[in-house]
Amino acid sequence: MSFVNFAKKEINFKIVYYGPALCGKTTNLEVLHKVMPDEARGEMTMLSTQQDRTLYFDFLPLKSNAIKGFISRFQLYTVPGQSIYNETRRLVLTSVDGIVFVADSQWEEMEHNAESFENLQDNLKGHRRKLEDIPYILQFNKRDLPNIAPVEYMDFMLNQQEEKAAFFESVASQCVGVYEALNMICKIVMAQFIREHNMGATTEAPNEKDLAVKAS
Amino acid sequence: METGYAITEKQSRALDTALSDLLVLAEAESVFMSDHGGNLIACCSAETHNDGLIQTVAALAAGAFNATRELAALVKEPEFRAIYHQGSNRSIYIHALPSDFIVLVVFGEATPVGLVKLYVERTGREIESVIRTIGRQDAATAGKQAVKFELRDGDDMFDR
Ligand SMILES: Nc1nc2c(ncn2[C@@H]2O[C@H](COP(=O)(O)OP(=O)(O)OP(=O)(O)O)[C@@H](O)[C@H]2O)c(=O)[nH]1
Ligand SMILES: [Mg+2]
Repeated sequence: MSFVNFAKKEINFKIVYYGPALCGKTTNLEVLHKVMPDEARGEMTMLSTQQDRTLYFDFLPLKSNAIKGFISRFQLYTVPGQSIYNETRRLVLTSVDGIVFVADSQWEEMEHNAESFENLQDNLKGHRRKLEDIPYILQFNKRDLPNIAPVEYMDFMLNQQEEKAAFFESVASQCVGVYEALNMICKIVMAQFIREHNMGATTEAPNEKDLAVKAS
Repeated sequence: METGYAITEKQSRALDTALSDLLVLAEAESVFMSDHGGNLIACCSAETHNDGLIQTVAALAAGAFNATRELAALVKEPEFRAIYHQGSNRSIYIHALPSDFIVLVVFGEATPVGLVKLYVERTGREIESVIRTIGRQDAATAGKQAVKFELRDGDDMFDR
């Protein structure tokens, strides 16, 4: 859920990269950290096991000036894909504003993709939220490998919702399609934010005296 | 709140004041306030930290707090309020505030944790009504009638 700070003129958004084990979520953030301009990116933090598997989450803060007069902060998180870490996956989804679902394009991973997509919906239920209400896109990763399913097949399998999501083909390890996917999810998230907030733009503000209490 | 929440300039100043008082009284090095989603709400420090570090502290503080609270729930402890990490040079104390906010205090070896605990709880009581309001307040309310958010032209959100 977005957070607007009128003192600092900042808006915070949380983007979560979700998907099955080893599909390339961490690689997405690593590559983004490499290719983003210095002024747009912060440090990347990885909470991983000795084997480079995500244990809790990865975190990469980004900044954009796409909304006039404000700094938009996009806080990028990944979840751990291994099935044993479901509790942490659910925790990382706390207050999410946008989701990039990363699917592994290899045939033998199709079942895991479907399971993970279902698991995402279950975990959102744990926060009393629904995927339909949250901006999300699909990223079909590892398109460089030989034994991959056709895009149409993956789209058919994962894009059954009434309102279809945008999808991107990617080779995260070579930074193909990664930035495009990020750019799209950020755009959709901001569009939804603007839609929701400008509806209420004529609301009368309550008296500041009622709102703020002096902290001394 | 499904559509997010917001903080006014005045509320932000009130929190800054409360945190800087806490910093002095608790003899701490830095104080951060974040929400459960990992957003930084306010911070105050004796030294200057770069922006990336502050954002990361907020994200990790929320992560640590959420995970520990989950552990507490597993062992059937519903009243979980705080985490204390004791280091050899610096220690960290994370404490729950109302409306799903948390405060994280970094303090040196010379500062007793009891002092930190005492003043964190006091600060929590002082800012309680402000943060309850913030948690319930959307951007239209906080920004007064004139807020209109607008995307600038161009397709690239990060000017690459
Ligand atoms: N061939 C190929 N390999 C990829 C691609 N993207 C990622 N990889 C590799 O896949 C492996 C797993 O990538 P990670 O990014 O660690 O996967 P993850 O989704 O974060 O995995 P968990 O943290 O366990 O959930 C690594 O060896 C990556 O280099 C891709 O597009 N093509
Ligand atoms: Mg990972």
